[in-house]
Amino acid sequence: MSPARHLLSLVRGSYRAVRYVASHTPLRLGIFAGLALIAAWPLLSTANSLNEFRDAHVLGHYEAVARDTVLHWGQAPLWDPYYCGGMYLLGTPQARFVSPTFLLTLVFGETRAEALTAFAMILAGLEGTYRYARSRRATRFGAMAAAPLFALSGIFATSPALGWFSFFGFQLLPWMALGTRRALAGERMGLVTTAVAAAWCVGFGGTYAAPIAALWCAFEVGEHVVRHARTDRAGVAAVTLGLGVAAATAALGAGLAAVRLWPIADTLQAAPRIIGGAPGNDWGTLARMFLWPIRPETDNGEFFIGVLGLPAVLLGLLRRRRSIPLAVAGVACVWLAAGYAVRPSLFASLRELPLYTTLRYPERFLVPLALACATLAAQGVSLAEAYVRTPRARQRRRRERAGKALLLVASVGLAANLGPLAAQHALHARDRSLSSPPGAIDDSRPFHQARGNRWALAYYEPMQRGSLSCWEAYPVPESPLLRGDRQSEEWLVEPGAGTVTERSWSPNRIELDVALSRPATVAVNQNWHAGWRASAGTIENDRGLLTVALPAGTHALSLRFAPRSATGGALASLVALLALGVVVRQARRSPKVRGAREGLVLALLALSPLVPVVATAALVHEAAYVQAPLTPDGRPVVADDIDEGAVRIDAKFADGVSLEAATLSNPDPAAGAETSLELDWRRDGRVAPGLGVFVHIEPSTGGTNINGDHVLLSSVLDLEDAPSNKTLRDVLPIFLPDDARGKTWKVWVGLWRVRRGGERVHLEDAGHALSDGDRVLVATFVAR
Amino acid sequence: MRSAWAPLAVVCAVALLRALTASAPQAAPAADEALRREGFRAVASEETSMRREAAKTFPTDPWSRDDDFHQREMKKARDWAHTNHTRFADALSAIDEGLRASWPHGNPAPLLATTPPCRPRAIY
Repeated sequence: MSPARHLLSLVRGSYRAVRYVASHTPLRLGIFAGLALIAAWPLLSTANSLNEFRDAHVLGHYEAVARDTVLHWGQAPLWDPYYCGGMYLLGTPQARFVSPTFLLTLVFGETRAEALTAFAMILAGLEGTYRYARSRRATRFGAMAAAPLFALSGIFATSPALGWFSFFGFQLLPWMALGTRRALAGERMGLVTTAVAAAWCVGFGGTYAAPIAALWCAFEVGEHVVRHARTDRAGVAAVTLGLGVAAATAALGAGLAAVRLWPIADTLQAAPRIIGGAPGNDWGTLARMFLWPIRPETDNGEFFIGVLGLPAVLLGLLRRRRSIPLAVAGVACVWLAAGYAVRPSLFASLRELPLYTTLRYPERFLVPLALACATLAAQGVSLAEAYVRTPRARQRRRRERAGKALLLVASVGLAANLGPLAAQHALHARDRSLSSPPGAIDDSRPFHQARGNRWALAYYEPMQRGSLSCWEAYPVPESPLLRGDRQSEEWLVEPGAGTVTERSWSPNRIELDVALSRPATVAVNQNWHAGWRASAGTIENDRGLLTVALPAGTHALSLRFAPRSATGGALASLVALLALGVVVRQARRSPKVRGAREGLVLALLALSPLVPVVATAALVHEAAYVQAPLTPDGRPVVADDIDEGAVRIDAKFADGVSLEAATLSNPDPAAGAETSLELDWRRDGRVAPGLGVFVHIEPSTGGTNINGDHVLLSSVLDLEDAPSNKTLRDVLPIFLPDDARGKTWKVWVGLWRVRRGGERVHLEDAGHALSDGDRVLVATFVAR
Repeated sequence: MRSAWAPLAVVCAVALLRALTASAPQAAPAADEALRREGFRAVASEETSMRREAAKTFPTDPWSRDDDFHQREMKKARDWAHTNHTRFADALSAIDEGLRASWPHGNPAPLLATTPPCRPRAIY
């Protein structure tokens, strides 16, 4: 046999073998597990190490604290006293412990479980992509060959290195898409698949994965409606059934995720995440992120799928009827990923929607693009297979040959692409800075708040110390009264009124013995939250600090954290789980929903999680988080009028905002020291949304400008949330560098559409100030 | 057909075994109190200068300024631990102990025991 024939025979044999494996689920899963093992091997090999990247410290901390709260303290992971002075752990959007992978953390510990989670999620993603491609009529061989294009793509290689394990929630995207397709066809198990995957994704901290997956599900719904957009009875029935089951899917998915959704909603209502700026990516950057291999210090390869898979993707586009919806989805993903760099910006429009206002990075829409490409590639291989197997009578031999050539190019390309895909995982894992993990909790030490350090957060909980140094993606409500040097974590606000002694301490429960000769207030060195309950006295919020007002006498005071949203959310999730159990049981008898009666039963099941939600909200009273916004120097941000001595400006901007006054705390500031600038704003009832303040402090000669651009007035109040016709104090601290000395500095102020494209707001009237291109000169000083 | 699941089971077992047998990087020895006091002094003595550098980086944002200081503090503590062949955790613990017990620090200004509330930047 000639070498060419030998090679051909080998290729044919391999093709048959892969087809055989693909059609047998256990074998297919075995191969997928092998691929997941190769990709996750560098993580598994360093599974007992601490990733020193800053985000890994914080995100790993949530998981570690949740584990220790369960195993060490025997409590539900509700409150995290170890970070930011105490925060609602269950309501922290980026925490990932409300998911099945938390079992791995409980059994193997946080660091080892991270690697195992990566392995398990990659495996889930490979199988999900396979099944999703199959649901779009790809052949078994095509679906199997193309699945790695998504499940091994760059996002899953870069995320572990940064500690962003919650991004593995994207591996559930194909499952949600698959379930939605099946639900739209009226299949009960489709509903269950999507609801479970969506709840998992939310519980896994999918702050990007969940909203992006919801968009993909909406795309599936849209495609279903378009495909059945006929006026005949069958078309109307298909659309009605599909939309009905899809609505039930959304309701049960939200119900199952309620244990996370309600606490997260609570958190973000108290402390909304404000995202400004107009991020964008040009086409070159997107191409490098998607197709170029990783290069350190660049964005290259962040969402890598590799170029060798492209022939299969392009071939898939030829399958017009089946590829058009995916091509449309792909184009939409690219358009979204470009962010504000293209006009009109689809990303900007998306950010107008309530759930999507907090998305910062448009390039993350390249993740669903990878799924679109994987599915197209599967269809491309399927098309080539169809050419080989069912050539038309005419031009039979030519078509068969062409089919074989295309199949060879597409499938060899996809197979060869596995190398670069796996290499990305190894490269990113290799670049991590690893160290020995901190040990278990040191029981010999009582808990104390420390000043801490969020850059090294993982070390604090084992030391029984909380870190006041805090970073999160949202402004965690933190009391300015917290201290990191207290001898005792509980004290009396009126020291002479008696004594307070800590009897026992745990994350969700603090037991105190209090003896008072007169009414007094016990303060705890942790943040207040509406979920704290006291066995005696009244819980109070003293500038964000947890305090309890008690009458005179002796008290065995018990403080426990039991927020309404955790109880209500857990009950709703439990009811949704039971409802899904009923749906699974029904699916065994009758896989599809048929008739009005079955539809009504499904609707009732879908609405059932609302019962505990409404009941809990009605029965359990909880104070809303109300914190009057204060300036950094402790004055109310909202005032009736400007202070005496403030320097009047009276400039009027478009969109209903005026700058009443601007005052430097020290008109003769020194270099190397801090001064502050107070801007007094006033808005009328028609203020435009998404405005920000820009402050440019420019030296007369040389040197760098000082930039004081900001969104929140005095770092706490959004202009659009501020009351109208009030003075709004916006205090900005300014540190003047040493080389500022002797220079004349001009302070220019204006408004810009920080969340709406970045243009400056038109200055209608400069008032008493000089103006220059929609900004006013509010102060001039010479630094001493 | 149970044997068909064997490849999957074997691969999962290999993954689990690899994760369980992965060794951690060598941990440095623990620091005694004298060394921790020295570590506290080494880090805390530069607090004012580190805060000043942070203020230059973020002249108008108190939270970012404090956060930048903590990054510098972390690097300083890590370098000190590395130089003295001791655990990084002990350097962090020393900072906490020193602050709470008012150990001598040699910094020209009092050390801060508070942090500004978390205010993530809306604009990057």
